[in-house]
Amino acid sequence: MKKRRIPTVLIAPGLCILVLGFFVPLILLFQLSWYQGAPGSGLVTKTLTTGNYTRLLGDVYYFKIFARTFRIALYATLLSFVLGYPMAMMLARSKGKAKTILFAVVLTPLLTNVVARTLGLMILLGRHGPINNLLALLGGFRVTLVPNVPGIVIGLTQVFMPYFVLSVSSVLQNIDDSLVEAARSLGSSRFRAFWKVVFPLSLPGVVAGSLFVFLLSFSAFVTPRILGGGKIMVMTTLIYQQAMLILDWPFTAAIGLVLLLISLVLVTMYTRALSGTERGKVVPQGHRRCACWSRAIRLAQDWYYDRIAAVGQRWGSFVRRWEGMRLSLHSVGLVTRIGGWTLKALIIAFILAPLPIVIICSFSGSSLITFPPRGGFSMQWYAGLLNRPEYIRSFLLSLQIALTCVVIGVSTGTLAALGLVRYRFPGKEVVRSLFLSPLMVPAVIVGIALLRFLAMMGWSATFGGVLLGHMVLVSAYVTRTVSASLVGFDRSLEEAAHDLGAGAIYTFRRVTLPLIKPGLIAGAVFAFLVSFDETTVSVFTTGPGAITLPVRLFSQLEYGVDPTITAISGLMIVLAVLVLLLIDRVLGLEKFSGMR
Amino acid sequence: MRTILRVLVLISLATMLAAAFVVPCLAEKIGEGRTLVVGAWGGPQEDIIREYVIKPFEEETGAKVELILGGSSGRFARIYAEKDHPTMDVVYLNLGQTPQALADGVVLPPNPEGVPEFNNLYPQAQEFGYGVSFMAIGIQYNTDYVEKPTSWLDLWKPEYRGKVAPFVFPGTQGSAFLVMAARVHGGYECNIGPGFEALKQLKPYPAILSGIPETNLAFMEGDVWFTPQIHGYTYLFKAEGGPVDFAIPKEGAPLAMNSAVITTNSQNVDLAEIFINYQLAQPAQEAFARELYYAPTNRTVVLDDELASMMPYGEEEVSKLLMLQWNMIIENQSEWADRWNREILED
Repeated sequence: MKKRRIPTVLIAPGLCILVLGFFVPLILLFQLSWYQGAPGSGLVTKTLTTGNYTRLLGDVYYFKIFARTFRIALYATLLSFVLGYPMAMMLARSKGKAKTILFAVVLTPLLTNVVARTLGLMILLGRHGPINNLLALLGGFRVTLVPNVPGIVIGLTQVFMPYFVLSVSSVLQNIDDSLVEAARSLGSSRFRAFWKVVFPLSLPGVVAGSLFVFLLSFSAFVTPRILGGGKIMVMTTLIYQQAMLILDWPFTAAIGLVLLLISLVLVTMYTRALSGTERGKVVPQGHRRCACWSRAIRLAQDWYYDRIAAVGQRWGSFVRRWEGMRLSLHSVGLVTRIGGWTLKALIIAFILAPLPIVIICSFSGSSLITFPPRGGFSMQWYAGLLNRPEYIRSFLLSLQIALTCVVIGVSTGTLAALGLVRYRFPGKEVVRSLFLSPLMVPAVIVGIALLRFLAMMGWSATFGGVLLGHMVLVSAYVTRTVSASLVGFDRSLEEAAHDLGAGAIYTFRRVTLPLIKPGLIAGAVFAFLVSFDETTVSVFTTGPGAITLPVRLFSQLEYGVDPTITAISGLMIVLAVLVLLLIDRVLGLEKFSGMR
Repeated sequence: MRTILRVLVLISLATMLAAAFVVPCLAEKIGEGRTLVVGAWGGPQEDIIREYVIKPFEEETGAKVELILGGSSGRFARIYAEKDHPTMDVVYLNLGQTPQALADGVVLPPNPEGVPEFNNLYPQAQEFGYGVSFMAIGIQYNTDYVEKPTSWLDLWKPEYRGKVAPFVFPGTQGSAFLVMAARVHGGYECNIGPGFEALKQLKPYPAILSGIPETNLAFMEGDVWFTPQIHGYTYLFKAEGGPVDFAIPKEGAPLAMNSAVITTNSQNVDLAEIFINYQLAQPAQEAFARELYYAPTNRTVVLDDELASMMPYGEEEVSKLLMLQWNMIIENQSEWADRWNREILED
């Protein structure tokens, strides 16, 4: 094999999957958006028109939907910040066993199937759920959280906050403790030291994490669809309605492309925020281009920090006044501490709550799902699963697809990673970003692009068609994870083995493989999880005859909670916890979260 | 190292090739001997079809039946996508879909010569494909709070404000309710404006319903007093002890119907016709009535009196049901969905 050709050969298999499952469908989607659709039939007239775009952009209603989507994403980001920042601090400060447990808390929602988690929220926030029952007891009123905007915001926060927490805690960990000590020894209060020193230094993590949460919330589909109950329209649910119920595919394509454009802008902002401020190092202010702009920002920041610090001081003087009233400082300190712990406990409860609720409800004796469940304890829904062959078939299909994804994804992804990390060739950066691009594009868009493409090829709702959608996502994840483990790889070890007379196979088996093994295992775990839990793309690519388990749950949940779903979701939650334990044993949770 | 890479390349290429070739073969059913592929709803319907249609069919023809289960909208989209090479020979659709599929030539019109039972169907069931079961869309009302309504207009009484929940559009109950709201307020399918105006008067809605478990819970908790519903669902919930009953208003209850149809380019039309004939015969029709309260479409089917009283059964009862202009509803669906999004979902 000529050396020049090696990277091409390494990259080719992965690129084939991407071209077939991602770029070609996306190009076809673009083409489709200029055609005329026949609503109600899914037929398309191939006359060129700008009608779809003028309809979308020239109508206040669609702008309203856009504004609502934007608002929801913004609220979810703010809530993630408010709840996620304390959590990130806890995570960064903790050590040893406590740290592992906190990592488990943060990672559990990420590993649990989104439908199962959303189901828990549906019960929790429902009109007759625990929260509303509490309100009714205390204030005698109920609020409609679900289906409504607040429910969606809470749901998105619950789902995406872990990304924020991980992003901020990794920055917090790298802040030198001596800075805080210096501030303290110069007379700063604890509040002031935090707001003037720690918080500004953690800003890069906050910015990156917020942008990521915003991007994910903006293009999320499953959560708004289920918690909005088809009554709250956001951009993705509009796409779903037009694609699956009205069958106006060209118009769908046009909405999808506008959404794509918006998210590309967001992604660019995110990568800028990330690259400028890698690993907790703040860009020196002088490097900013516009000095007066940056000064204005700094002034605003200072003002803001001073306000907050003032609040902290007032609390301090409040404490002292109490002291003067002969209440011991000790008890006030205790109150503050208990308050702090309650807050932390509440945040952890918020992250985990949906999971036990689902499990408890799955043992309900009644066919109407309420919390606490009625009708006593019963195993009937688990027993009933045995008589529901469609769920078992879907489970087996999901399992088959996930395992195929692991095999193909890890082999093609590893090869691509080797090609991208170890060789130099023209256009390498372009190819690298091509490989990662499916992660930057909202899953809904991958879904509608594939919907049309698979229908054209006659692959819709076949094993191969569903697999293709999963492969696109999986190979991007695996390429990224394995690349990360190859970057720090010392090639002199291989050379040393070679010089000492080891053959190629022996070197690979005894040197290379053990060194990249963590990356491979993480890649395989990702491949399995991504595929097994994949819902958004699969909603569009599956169909009668080939429905994966998450999609079956999703389409059942669209019509309300049915007890069989709680049983399956319960099983999926248990599965997620087992995977979590496994990851902890094999890789360590901290390392795993870093790769994610 | 290079050898290893070569091996890895080969393995990954081989698995991809295998996936590319084997997988479509697994999914492809056409021409594999005599297998009839049927797209139907899962759950209790699947059980009935297996027992009362597939069993005698397989005994008679020796052919195998493969069921593809799922919602009808998935099937509908798929028969359009696979117009020239359908994987499914027989599909079950609802009244919001059958007329469109027939008009677009995606499915075949009924053939009484191949399906003798077709001649025994009520005229309504002959209109769009092979009508398999009738349903009445009336009012499900909450017996804990209200008396039986007699007219659709009762839902607009001021004392019920905030307790009437519409169903999501497009959908069987939602579409029928929109049209009925228009009809009792001086509109019609071709003049839907009054329907939207009337639905807006019902605001604030306690909920916009989309599913049965959700509906039942809302009635159980007393949040909702009235909703348009298919009779079978109301009676199933009533049988479980739910505080509900079913009313057919004096203006009439729209008819809803599930049909079975044969795809246009099916290679197994002969088998498909035999299959559908079993679906229309007494045993299957009776089982649907017994298990799900779906009314028979075949006038020769005999039910016992108690069961018959719970559904539109017999010449007279069936003729009372309203046949909505489904062609027009489908034609305008996109436009109405647009209005629905704007006027009903938005405040």
